[in-house]
Amino acid sequence: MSDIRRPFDDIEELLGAYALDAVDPDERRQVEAYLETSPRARAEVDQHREVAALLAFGGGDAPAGLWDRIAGSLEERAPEPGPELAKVLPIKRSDKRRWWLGALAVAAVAAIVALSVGLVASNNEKPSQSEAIASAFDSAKANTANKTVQMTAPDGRTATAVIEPSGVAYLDGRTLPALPTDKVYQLWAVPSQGAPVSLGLLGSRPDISVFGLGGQPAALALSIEAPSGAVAPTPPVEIVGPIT
Amino acid sequence: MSDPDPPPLRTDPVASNPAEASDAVLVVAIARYHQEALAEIYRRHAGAVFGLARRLLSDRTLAEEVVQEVFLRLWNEPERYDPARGTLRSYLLAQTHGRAVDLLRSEGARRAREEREARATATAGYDVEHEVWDLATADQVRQAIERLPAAERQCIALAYFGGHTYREVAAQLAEPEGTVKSRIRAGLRRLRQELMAVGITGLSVGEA
Repeated sequence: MSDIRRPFDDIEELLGAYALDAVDPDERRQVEAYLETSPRARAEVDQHREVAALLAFGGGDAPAGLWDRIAGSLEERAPEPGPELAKVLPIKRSDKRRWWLGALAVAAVAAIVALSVGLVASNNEKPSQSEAIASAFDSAKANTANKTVQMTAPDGRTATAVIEPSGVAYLDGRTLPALPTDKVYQLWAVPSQGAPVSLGLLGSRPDISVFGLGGQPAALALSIEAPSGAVAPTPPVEIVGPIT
Repeated sequence: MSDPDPPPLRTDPVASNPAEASDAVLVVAIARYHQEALAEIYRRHAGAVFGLARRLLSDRTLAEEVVQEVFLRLWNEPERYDPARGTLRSYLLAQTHGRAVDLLRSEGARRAREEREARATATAGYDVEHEVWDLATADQVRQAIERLPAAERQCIALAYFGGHTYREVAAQLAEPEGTVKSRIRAGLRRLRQELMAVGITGLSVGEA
């Protein structure tokens, strides 16, 4: 039996070197063919790459000016139609990408906790990221092409969402009262038919969050849940904003 | 949007790491051609990406080209990044490493090859410890590396930071190829255990 397994054992032994790009082209092809058949081996390679990424951790900055060059070539490759042009032009993007985006959005919803929407804004260790998001939110809010959704509760609690035509959206939760530490806000897209879909968890003291919004939901809603979140909003759901 | 039967919640505390989650959301935004999302990812990760490229390619211009290529690829093909398989950072760094190593090994890159040969002699005493040592922020990584057997540490350093194949590493160290191959794999596994033991999170990818 061990003789039969031997060829795979040899390939298995290469997984570390493969993850570090330290194999010859022939071996690379062999390993890649093997990875197609073995989810376990693929997971091992992924793990090795995570470890390598930690070794590579380096504090430095990228060279000044490099981002400008990258941003410059983005415009050449993927021109954004201006808001006026977009009204008359069909969106000229590959179906493949749009399809994948839908799939990814579904996956994002599935991993509700993983995609705790609050992201950066609530992470005090990264003030520059919070600032970047706050500044992106401010400019999105000022742009009249975007939809502003005012979410209100009968008792006066409010939050503001801004939805860009692209589906990128922001929620400003700074106006919401802080919750006890064993409760979190959870954001929902409420379709005109069917069950609300979770957009993520905002933590107990929401800041500004970024999220992706697919489809054409009728409203956004906030519920108050246990820290692990919920698959359906726990009543009463009082903070609601219609998307008009 | 109207999935009537949402899957059960994941409650893995690692998966709820907000910094990683935000990367995933940003990649969704990239797929919608949202340039600000790419800019944010660049702000977070371009330093590390450039650092790795620069370490592998002595040529600064070449390293910048690799950075540019890696970010343009993310822009053009965001679907290639699968959040279920690891962090965005490790994905970007793996792309960077692969591309830099391709350049190192390409027949046409004469200058790069010369530099690599020069470095090969300089790497006789090469040790990953030194690579990480001066990075004050990587304390926990350093602790884990210190616990690694020296032979494994050296093989990983030569392969990863030197850009050498395991065969080249074996030749340089005058060790059997099979030994080097095994040391790289065993060392990476051990490092992972050590990193998890010292509390580095984000390593649970692929865990059953």
